[in-house]
Amino acid sequence: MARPGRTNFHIWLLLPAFVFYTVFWIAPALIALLSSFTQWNGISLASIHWVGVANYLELFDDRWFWNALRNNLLFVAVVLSSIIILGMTYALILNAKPRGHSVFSTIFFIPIVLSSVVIGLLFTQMLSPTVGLVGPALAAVGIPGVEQYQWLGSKETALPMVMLVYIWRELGFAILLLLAGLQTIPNDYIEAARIDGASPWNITRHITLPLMRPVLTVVIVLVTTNAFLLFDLVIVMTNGGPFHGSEVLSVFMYSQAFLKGNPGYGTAIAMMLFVIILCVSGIQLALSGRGQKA
Amino acid sequence: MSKFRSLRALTLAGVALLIAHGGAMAQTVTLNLWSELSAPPESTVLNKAVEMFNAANPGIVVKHTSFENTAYETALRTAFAGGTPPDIAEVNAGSNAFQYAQSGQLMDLTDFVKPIEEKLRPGLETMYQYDGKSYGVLWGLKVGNVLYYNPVMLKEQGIDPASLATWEGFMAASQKFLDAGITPIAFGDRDQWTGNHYFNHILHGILTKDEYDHIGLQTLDPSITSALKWSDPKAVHAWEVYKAVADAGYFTPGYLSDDNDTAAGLFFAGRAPFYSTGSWGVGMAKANGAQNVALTLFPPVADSPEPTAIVTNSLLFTIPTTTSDADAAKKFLEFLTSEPVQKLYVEENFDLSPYQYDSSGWTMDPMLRQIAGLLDNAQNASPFLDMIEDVKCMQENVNEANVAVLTGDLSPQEAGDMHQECVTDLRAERGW
Amino acid sequence: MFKSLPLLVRIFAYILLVALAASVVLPFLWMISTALKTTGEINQSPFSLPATPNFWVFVDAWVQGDFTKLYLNSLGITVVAVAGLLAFCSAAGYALAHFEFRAKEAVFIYFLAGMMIPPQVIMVPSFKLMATLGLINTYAAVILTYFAWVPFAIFFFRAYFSGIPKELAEAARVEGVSEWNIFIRIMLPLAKPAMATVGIVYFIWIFNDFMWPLIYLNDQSLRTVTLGMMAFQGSHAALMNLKVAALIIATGPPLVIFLIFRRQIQNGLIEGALKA
Repeated sequence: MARPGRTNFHIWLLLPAFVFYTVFWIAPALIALLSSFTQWNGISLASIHWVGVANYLELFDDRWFWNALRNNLLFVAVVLSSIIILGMTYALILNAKPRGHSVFSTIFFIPIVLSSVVIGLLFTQMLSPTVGLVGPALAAVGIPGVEQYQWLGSKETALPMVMLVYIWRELGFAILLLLAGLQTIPNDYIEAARIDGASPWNITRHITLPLMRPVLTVVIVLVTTNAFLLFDLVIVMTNGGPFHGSEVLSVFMYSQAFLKGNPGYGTAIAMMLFVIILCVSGIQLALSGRGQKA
Repeated sequence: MSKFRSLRALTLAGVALLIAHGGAMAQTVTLNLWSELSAPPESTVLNKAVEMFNAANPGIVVKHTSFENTAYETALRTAFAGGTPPDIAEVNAGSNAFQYAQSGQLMDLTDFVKPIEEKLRPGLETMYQYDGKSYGVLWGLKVGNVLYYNPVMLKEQGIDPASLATWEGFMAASQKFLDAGITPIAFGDRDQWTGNHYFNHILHGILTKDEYDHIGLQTLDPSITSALKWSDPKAVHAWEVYKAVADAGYFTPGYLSDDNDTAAGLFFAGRAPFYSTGSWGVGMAKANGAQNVALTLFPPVADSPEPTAIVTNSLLFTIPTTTSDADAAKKFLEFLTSEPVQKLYVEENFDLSPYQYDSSGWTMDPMLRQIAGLLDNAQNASPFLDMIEDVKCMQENVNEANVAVLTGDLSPQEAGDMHQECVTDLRAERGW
Repeated sequence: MFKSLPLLVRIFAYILLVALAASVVLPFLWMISTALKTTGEINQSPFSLPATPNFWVFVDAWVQGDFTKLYLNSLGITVVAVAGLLAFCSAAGYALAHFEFRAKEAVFIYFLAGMMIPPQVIMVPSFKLMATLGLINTYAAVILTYFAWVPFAIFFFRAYFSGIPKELAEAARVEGVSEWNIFIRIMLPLAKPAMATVGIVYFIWIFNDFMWPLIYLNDQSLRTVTLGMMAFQGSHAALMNLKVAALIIATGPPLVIFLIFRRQIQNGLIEGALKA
């Protein structure tokens, strides 16, 4: 490839994407990183003063930081495992091509096109005890005492409801990717195994899943990253409440930086979030890489 | 070839733009005005006022850029931080404006405002004065402590609206509705500010004006101290009264999960007889086509020292120190307070004027006139608590705490203790 | 293949399929039925069907919300942003897949890192940047921001181009075809399925984005569908049927387009996965 006179072409290919990405995404992020070492009022540059790692140290003493972190980890764990298990189950079913499979897959993909704002509004309405239908529906099938229950206004159910809606929204995309992965597995392998008398379960366990590892890795990393960054849905559905009950890190950051006037502290939270995502995806990639070699 | 042609066209256009710009610069001053009044009718009125001003002042062109409400704070802060604020800036009166004043970014307008002050209703100083200096002119006057009710539903239960004049009467009416199987008070505290306003109005009813103003302003103004503490029984009592309403089951069942719009919808649709919001509720009722709406002052608690007092809110037009022409900007501010502009504002906006012009000949919605009457009848007025308390204590200890008190995460006493701790720490930290 | 499974497994599989499908379809039916009811009917019961369906509600919501303008704004922004992204990212993905150069891995990781940055954290610095450039309240501000959303597209294009044999380009080079023509005439036509997939995925993301238009497009005349729909919800609090009609208007057209292009997306993804 390294022919004289042609070696620089890749630079021209990379340049536009590099410039836009650097100027409009990375540069602001670096400025944010710097501001996490400062305290200021957000209005006058004269008020900025360098505080070193004080913002980061303060985080460790802040019970609401731990609360948001706990909520976030819980959210990611539940959402990730549900999406992988359900996604794989549905992908396997659809891949077996039951009658009507293309109608089903079309329907499953619908939530992908909807914005999280619309989805949030829709489910907030449906879950509301005053204007919704979930309470009356449960009462109609004979479950008493829930008609006036505040699904999004109770500590026990606010975060689980957001999880449920999030899974509902993201499941279609996971099924789509996993199904695509399944369809790349050459039929010969499976036919050969079947002729050898392997059961469907054994085929899945010993042929399909190992061959799916790369696709699964992609889905796991994508879902994890997106779930850590969860923001819109919480803001629309619960606004982090009731009383921090469904507050995750990005929402905690938002409230510190924009509502409580602590921009420096807010960006320190965001940096922690970045580091956590980096570590978790790093671990996931390393695990999948090691598994592949074994 | 075509590349050249388009390049040439572009250059020509650029030159033309420069000439046009340069020509205009030679004769007139352009003033950039920023505001959060981006939706009609508010935006319409301000735009009309700007047009009127530009027509009457050939040497000055005011250019109004409006921002969506939620983004405005970010936009303005960023502009100030970058040293490029507009020539005239609309800000929320009170603490919001004082932040900018405190960091020396607003012009001291004390002398300019003096003659305008004479037209102003009394009791509004805390909205534009900080540390003895004035920083702008007020625009619009919203009344916060209003209770809306559905007269038809009240009639059905045989409740006399006059009984809503006291807190006890309000609670008795609520109980009557509850007994009849109707949850009385439409309330949605998902976004916290609604609960903040309830607490605000109850507290305001319990305290005297001085107590109320000082307990808030002590976080903004080093020279003000408050004898009353948030942990004192008087302040804690406000939380208790607020919590008692929820415990009695008077709030609509979605009170922690619904947002204010949903709650308002319940009231306007005739599903709940009571709803408390500010004077802007008159405009909301109109937009929603609601028929059976009447109003009264938010009922003051028993033994209220000043039972007719009003909680208000206003916007402030200020001039940043970096303005390109201070005299022209002042001219515009003065124009905004003039009678024709104020008349236009009141007639088209479902809102009141902070200036005391004779409004008897103006076309006003009857409900708005009633609110104007409440205002005329009031012993005094104070701003909302969130306008006179530093956001660092207010956000956590009023906005978040009002949910925590309802959920039981904080007892009224704990809420008061936490609030006092924040205020004490804040003053200590700033060396006040 | 499905038929070869035990009956019990098949029944269970159908129960799962129907349950998920119902969870998607029912909210839509509820929305449509609610929109067509009167406010009185809505207050009485959330399940009842409209006695006399009022289809004018959609016209009312469309006109009152000025959705023609909102759609034009949204489509304009989305089309420009997606076209730009496809151009830059296909080029960058091709470079990362087919060229050998120093720090290639580092450049790739650099491009991926952006996925992990919470967008809220760059809000203030970005706003500052746009304000300095004088772009607040212009479409340029949002479009330039979207131009920076390169990570997923580059990731996808790189994987896709890696699946195309390098010999193809080598052969063309021997024939004396310029690098530029190899990219435009040979590589891009081969990448059509990837273009379709990335294009549609980004179209959905950008069309649905809420945050950046919210902070950059303040002027009412510049608003996008999502922004306009949110404003509509607030100003019509008690008019549940109109509110829901606006929700349907904001989701309907993208949904129809998606259903039409579903096969392309699926094929694109499968092919992308194959090549990767």
